[in-house]
Amino acid sequence: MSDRLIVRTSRRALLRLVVGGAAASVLAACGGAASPTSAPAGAQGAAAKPPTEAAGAAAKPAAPEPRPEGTRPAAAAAATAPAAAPSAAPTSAPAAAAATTAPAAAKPAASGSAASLRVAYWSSSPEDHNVFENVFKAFNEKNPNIKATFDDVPSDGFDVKMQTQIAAGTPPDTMELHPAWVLRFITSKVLNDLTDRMKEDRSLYIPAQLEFWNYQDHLFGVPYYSGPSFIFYNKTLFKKAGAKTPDDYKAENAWTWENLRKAAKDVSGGSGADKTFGWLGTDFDNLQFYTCVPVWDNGGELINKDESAWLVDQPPVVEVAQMHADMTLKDKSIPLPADTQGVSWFFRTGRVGMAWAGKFRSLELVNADFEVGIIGTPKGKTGPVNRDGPNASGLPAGTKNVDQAYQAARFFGGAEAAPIYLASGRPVPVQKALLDSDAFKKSLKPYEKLEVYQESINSVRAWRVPGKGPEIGRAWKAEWDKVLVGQQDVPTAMKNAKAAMDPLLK
Amino acid sequence: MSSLVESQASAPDVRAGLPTRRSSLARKQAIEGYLCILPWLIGFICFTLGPMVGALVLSFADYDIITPPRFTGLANLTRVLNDPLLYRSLGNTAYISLLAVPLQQSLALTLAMALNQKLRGIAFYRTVFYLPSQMPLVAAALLWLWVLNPDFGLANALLDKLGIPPLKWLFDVNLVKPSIVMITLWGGIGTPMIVFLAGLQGVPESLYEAASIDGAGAWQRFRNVTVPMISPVIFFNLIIGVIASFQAYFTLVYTTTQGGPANASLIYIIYLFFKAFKDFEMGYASPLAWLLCLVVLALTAIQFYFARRWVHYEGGERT
Repeated sequence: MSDRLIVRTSRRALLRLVVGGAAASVLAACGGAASPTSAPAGAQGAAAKPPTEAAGAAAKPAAPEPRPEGTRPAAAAAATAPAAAPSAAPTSAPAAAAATTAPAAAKPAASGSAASLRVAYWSSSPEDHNVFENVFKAFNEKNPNIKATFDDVPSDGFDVKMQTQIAAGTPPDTMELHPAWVLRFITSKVLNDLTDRMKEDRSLYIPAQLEFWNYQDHLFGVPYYSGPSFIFYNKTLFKKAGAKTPDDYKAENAWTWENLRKAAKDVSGGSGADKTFGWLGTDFDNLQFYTCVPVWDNGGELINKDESAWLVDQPPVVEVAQMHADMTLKDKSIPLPADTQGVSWFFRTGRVGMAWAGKFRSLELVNADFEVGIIGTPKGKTGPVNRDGPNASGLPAGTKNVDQAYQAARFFGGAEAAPIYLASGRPVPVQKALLDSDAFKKSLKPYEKLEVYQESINSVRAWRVPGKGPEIGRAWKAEWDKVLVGQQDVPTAMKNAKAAMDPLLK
Repeated sequence: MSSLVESQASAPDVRAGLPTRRSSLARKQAIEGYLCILPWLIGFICFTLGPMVGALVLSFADYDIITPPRFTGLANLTRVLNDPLLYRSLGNTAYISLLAVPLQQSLALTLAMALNQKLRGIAFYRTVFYLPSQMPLVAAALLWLWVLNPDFGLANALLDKLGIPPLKWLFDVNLVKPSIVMITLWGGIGTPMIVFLAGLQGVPESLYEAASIDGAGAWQRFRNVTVPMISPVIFFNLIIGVIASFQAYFTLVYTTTQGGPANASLIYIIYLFFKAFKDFEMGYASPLAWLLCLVVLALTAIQFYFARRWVHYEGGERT
C-alpha cells in the first residue's frame, strides 16, 4: 500500500514536472518568438511613448493602406516634429549640402530616451556586414535621439521573411527593397507612401533611381544603392589573342553589340581547362538583369507600353536572342551553364574576355592575375540604354517611428554615409552630387573609370518585370534552356515564351 | 484474520464497488497518459494538424501572405486540373520514383546480404557503405555537381578513359533525371541497407540449414527463406522509400538543377515550393500540398493492400 502510494506520488510529481516543464517551454517559446520582432528593451518604452500616428499604425499592423503623410492629424504631426524636418531641407542649397544638413535638422522631439529602429537589410559578406554596421553607427552618432539597430537578414528569401514579419504585424522600421519583388509589396499596400515626404528631396536623386520605386506616381523607396551594368574585360587575354579590345572599338566610335560579338569570338577558343570564352552573357535567361539591355539597344521592347503583352516574339527581340544563341552554340564565345557551374564568378578565372558586371564585382578583381579593363554598354541601333539592380529603403506600413525611419533611410544614400558606404567600393551613388564626390572617387580601384560609371548610371532605364515576376522568369528560362540544348529554334522559343508569359501578366 | 473474514464476508459489496474504483483508476491512468503525450499532442495540433486544416481552408482562397485571404471558391481546384506544369512535375516525380525506389531497395538488399557475411573487418565495410547516407544533402549535392561537371568532372574523365564521349549529365534534358537517380542511390541506400541488415540477422540459421539439407540452392534459399523472412522489412523500406521519393529529393534537386534544364527535373515538391515561396500563391499551393498528401496516402494504401499477398509475419497474419 505504501509502495503503491509512493509510486503514485512520484508519478504525480513527475507529471507535474512534465506539465510544468511543457508549460514553461510553451511560454518560453511564445516569449522567444515575440522578442526578435519587437524593439529592443530600451526601445519599447520610447516607441510606446510618443503619441504618433506611427504608434497607432503599429497597433493596427494589419491595416495595409499606405498612409500619405498629408493625412497626418495636426496633433500627431506636432508630436512628431522631426517629420517635417527632412522635407524642410532647403531646396535652394546645393544637393550635397542639403543631404548633409537635413538629417541634423531633423532631430526628433526630445522625449528623454532614444527612439529605437530596427533596420533590415542584407549584407553579402562579412566586410559588407561591417559596412552596414558602420553606416548605422554613424547615423546613431549623428542622431543621439535615435538608435538604429542593423538586422542583417540573409538575402536568400529576404522578401519572404519581410513578408512574414509584415503579416505578423512586426515589420522592421526600414527594410531593403529590390526591384525584382518590390511591386508585390507596393500593390499589396504594405509599404508607406513616401511621395509627400520626399517631395523636397526628389531633386537630390538621379531620376532613374527614383523611378524604380515609383508606382502610379507614388514613391515607395528611398534609394541608397545603385549597381548599373557595364563591362569588365581581360586585357591580358585580348593581348594574347592579338585582338582588338573594346576600348579600341570605342576609340573608333564602333563599340557596338555587333563588335562585341566579334571581340568575343576573337578571344574564344581552346579546350578543356584552357578553354576561353569571349562573353559572359549566360544571363540571357534573366530578363531584368541582362536581356532587356541588348533588346533596348536594338530598338526593341520586351513588353508593350501598358505591360499587358510581351513582345518577345517581335523581330528586334528575336534578332537579339538569335545573336546570343549563335554566340553560344556557333561561335562558342558564351559559356553554357555547365561551363560556369560551381564557380561564383567565371570572369575571375581569367578564362573570359568580357563580363557583364556591377561595381561590386570590382572588389573581386583586386588580386586578379590578369590586367583588367572597363568599358560601358555597347551601342545598338539606339542607345546605349542600360539597366540597374538598385536597392532602396522602404518603410513598411505598421512601422513604428516613421519619421526616424525615414531619417535613417535618407541618411544611408546621402553624403553623410558616403565616406563609409561609397568608400566600401560596392555601390554607385544614387544622388547626383555624389557622382563626382571625393568619397566615390576614392573608392575606385586603378582599373575602374569614373566616366564609365557616370555614363552607365546616366543611361539607366528603370524597369521591373511586371506581373508574376518569378514565374515569368522561370517560363522564359525554360524556353531559353530548350534553345541551348537544341530542342527548339529561337523563333519558336520566343513564340512559346510569349504564350507562356502573357497569362502571367494578369 | 478478522479483517480477512470481514473482507470475505463483504465480498459482494467489494465487487459491487469495483467498477467504480476501476473506472476511477482508469480515468486517472488515462489522464496521466494524456498528460504524458501532451507535449507531442500540442506539437502535432499546432505544427501538423493546424497547418493541414489551414491548407485545406486556403485551398478555396487567394492568399499571398501579406494581404488577407480572399475566398475564390473552386478556382484553385479548377486550376489544378488545367496546370500543364503540375502534370509535368508529377511525371518527372513518377519517373524518378519508379527508377530510384526499386534500384535503391535492390541495391540496399544486395549490399546488406554482402555485409551479412562473417568476414574479418566487416564492421569497417558496414561503416564505409553507411557513411554516404550521413553526409548532409547539400554537401552531397555540391560534391556531385563537381563529379558530374561536363568539363572537368570525374565522371567524364572516367568515360574519357573508356573512349566514351563526355556527357552533359545534369545539364542534359534527357540525362538529368537518371543523374539525379544516380545521386540518390549513392546517398540513399545506407539507411535501408542497415534496416535490411538487421532483418537478415534475425533470420534463424536453422532455416537455411534445413533448406540446404532439402537440397535448396543459393537462389532457392534466398527466394524461399530470406525473402519471406525479411518481407516485413522489405515492406517497411518500400513504404519509406516511396514516401521519400515524393518528398525528400527537394534539397538535392533544388541545389543541383532547380528543376532545369527546361523543367526536365522539375519534381512535384520543387513545383510546390516555387508556388508557395517564390510566387507566394499560398492559395494555389495549398491544394497542391493536399494533392501530394493524397497521392502519397494512396500509394501507401496500395502497398498495404498488396502487402497481404507477400508480407509474412512470424506471429501469423498481421492484423
